[in-house]
Amino acid sequence: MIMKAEDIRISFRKERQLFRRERQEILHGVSLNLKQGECLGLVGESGSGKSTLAKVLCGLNRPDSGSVEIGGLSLYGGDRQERQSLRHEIGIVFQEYTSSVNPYFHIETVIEESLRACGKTKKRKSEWDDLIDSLLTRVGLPLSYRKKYPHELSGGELQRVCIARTLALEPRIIVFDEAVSSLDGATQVIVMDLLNEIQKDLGLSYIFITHDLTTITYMCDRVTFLKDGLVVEELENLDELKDLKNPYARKLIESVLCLDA
Amino acid sequence: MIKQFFQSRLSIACLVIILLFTLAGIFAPYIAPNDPYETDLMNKFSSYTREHPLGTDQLGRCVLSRLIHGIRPTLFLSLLAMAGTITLGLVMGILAGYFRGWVDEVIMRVVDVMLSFPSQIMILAVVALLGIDIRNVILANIFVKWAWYARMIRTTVIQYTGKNFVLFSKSIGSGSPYILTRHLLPCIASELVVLATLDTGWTILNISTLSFLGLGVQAPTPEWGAMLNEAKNVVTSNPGQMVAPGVAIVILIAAFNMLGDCMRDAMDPREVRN
Ligand SMILES: Nc1ncnc2c1ncn2[C@@H]1O[C@H](COP(=O)(O)OP(=O)(O)O)[C@@H](O)[C@H]1O
Ligand SMILES: [Mg+2]
Repeated sequence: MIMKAEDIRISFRKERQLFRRERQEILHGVSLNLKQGECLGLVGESGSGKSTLAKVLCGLNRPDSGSVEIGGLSLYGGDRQERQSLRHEIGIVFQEYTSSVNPYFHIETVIEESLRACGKTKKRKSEWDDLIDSLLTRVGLPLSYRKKYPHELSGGELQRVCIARTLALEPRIIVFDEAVSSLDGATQVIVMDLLNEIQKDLGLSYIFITHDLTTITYMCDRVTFLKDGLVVEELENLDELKDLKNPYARKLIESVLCLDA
Repeated sequence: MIKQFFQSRLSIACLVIILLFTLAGIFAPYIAPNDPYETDLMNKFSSYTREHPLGTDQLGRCVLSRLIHGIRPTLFLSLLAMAGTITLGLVMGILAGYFRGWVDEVIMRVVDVMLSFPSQIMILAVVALLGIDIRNVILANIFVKWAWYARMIRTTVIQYTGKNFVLFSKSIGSGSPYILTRHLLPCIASELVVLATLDTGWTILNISTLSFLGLGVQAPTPEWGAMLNEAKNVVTSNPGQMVAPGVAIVILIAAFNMLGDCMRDAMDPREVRN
């Protein structure tokens, strides 16, 4: 078990009303387990709290209650040292690639930031250069892209840059928050192939968030269904997709199977 | 972005005008044909001659020389005021927008109070309170203007801290100094430069106005507003005295305003990036 999230609850302040500040709970006690080397799918309709959960898992949103443990260390525990050390164990790739990268940064600066953040001391400039080169090659981008700006890249290419900068952390877990959802069909498959290959080579564990079930069958080993901030169904095996108990999950599946037919 | 900017002829023209004024101001003693303080009562209100290209004023001083020497207080004092305004606004805006919470509350309430005063009257009040002196005029300008900048910058900071690239930065633990200087500052700067350029025109006008009213730069010193003030006294007999400083102010302010507009067009990332 590489990551364990237990009973996560989080709430946001509702739109401020006169004299009243109500909070609205978005996640009502979600628990997740991620095994070493697997790809866990997280499915749910939009607004079910997938992105919120992803941010909690990456240390961006402190939950009201519950805990996230990575390799036995607590992400929101009291120990600052411990929290810092976990920063590089888990990386995130967002859906909107255009806002994921600072528009004023060169591609190489984007990757450099990750290298800097995970404490790769800059012994020689060439050392970083080599690392950036190898990362770009790793995600299948030509080295000439180093000096390009984000707006000069296509969606698929930019998403590859995002993958590269996450890999620069040398993480053990990567969370993909609908990372391929905004790409077109052919590019989706190419990027997912790349992700599968990277996972095999580096022995990473993935959490793959999507609202699209076809991508699940392509990527994931296990699936968890989320609805309105609750886990409604957990599948240990993709073969079980046919006989789901939960009506919500079944409806999702059926809609996809209809499309396939 | 910069390429885009230099493709426009208008922006280059504005830049050249401002640059020429700046250089003329810096090298005023070498360029000006005469001493701006040298009076020659026998020769007052002379028309355009070789010796006095723009004629002389009511004390027989060379108008062109006074105009050139006047660039220093006019332009440089407003730039100084702008620098102060931006620095204060930037610090306050970033503190409020990035750290939120009670820091935000306190700063924004002060900003609200500042913004609810009419700015011109505030400046007059501050100058009246602190005494008539050009330093106080600059302080008053900063005091009145910083709130606008703080509010604008806070909004921009909040907008950008929600963006994914800042979230990613936070998730990998890049640290606030890095996020502020490398991510947020460039994003703010593009908007700030535009606003600041447009506002420089306003500040020049403001300082000149105060000098015209006799609250800023004082009489013998050549400043465009002060020159207009002196010319005002003889406006019925020699209205031509108003022309030179008036035109100079108009040209400089127009240049700043147009430059600001050109920058806005060039700097908008959405404009460039598609
Ligand atoms: N920072 C926030 N403040 C207030 N409400 C939020 C915030 N983030 C998310 N929400 C709310 O949480 C719910 C779930 O959002 P999200 O996690 O983005 O869903 P998903 O990614 O599954 O589409 C939405 O109803 C959204 O309005
Ligand atoms: Mg989402």
